[in-house]
Amino acid sequence: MDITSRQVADRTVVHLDGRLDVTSAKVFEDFMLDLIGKASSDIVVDMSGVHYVASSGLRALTVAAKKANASGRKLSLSNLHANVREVFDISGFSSVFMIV
Amino acid sequence: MVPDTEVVSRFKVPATLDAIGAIQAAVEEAAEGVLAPAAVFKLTMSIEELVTNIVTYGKAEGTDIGVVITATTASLSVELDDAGVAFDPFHQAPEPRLNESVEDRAIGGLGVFLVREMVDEVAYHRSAERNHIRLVMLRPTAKSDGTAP
Repeated sequence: MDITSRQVADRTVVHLDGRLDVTSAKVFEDFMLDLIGKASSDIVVDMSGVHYVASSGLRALTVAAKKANASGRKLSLSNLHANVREVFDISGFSSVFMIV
Repeated sequence: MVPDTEVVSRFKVPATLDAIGAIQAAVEEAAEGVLAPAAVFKLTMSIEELVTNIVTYGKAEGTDIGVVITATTASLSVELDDAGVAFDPFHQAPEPRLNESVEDRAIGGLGVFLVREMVDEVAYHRSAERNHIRLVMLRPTAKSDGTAP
């Protein structure tokens, strides 16, 4: 899993490339918590490079979203692939995350 | 007519998180040309969820997970057996609370819930002091008209 972030206008865009699985979820979660602690802008997680997500990945996203919300920031997800979108739909996460 | 069953692969792997990748690779190879890519994703993700539970909660350190992959004209099946504590994930895992907001949501049993939703047939039994989990994905032709080709 490669994780990069860049500032685009008034938002921070986090790009993920790889599998969001039990191995990478903790790394991703730590990255996001660190970013939310430092950044003051809203955050978009670009999922275009993610073709595989497991519940551990959903859990990491939830932790990040809770922290973002608690600090007055919005966290949204973009460019979900069909397989990944289906996991979000089945788990009910499509309604609890902002998906753009 | 009962479809002929072919054992595609049978092996054991140590009960660690490294087992996930090993089993997924074998399933992906067995599913090549048999299942649609979306079905392969659902099956491999389900293996991650179940093996993670075995390794994390099953107290199965130092033991092996047995894997048998079988194919019929109608389906591809994966059977996992482990020496962890007796646990039927399909009946004993807590139900996730799917309608809560991000702030309120506690993730309990979400992995198993996803497995039940994504895999065509799931089964559990306990025998010889091992848990046996069976996952079945129907092949597209079998799923569309309900009969084996």
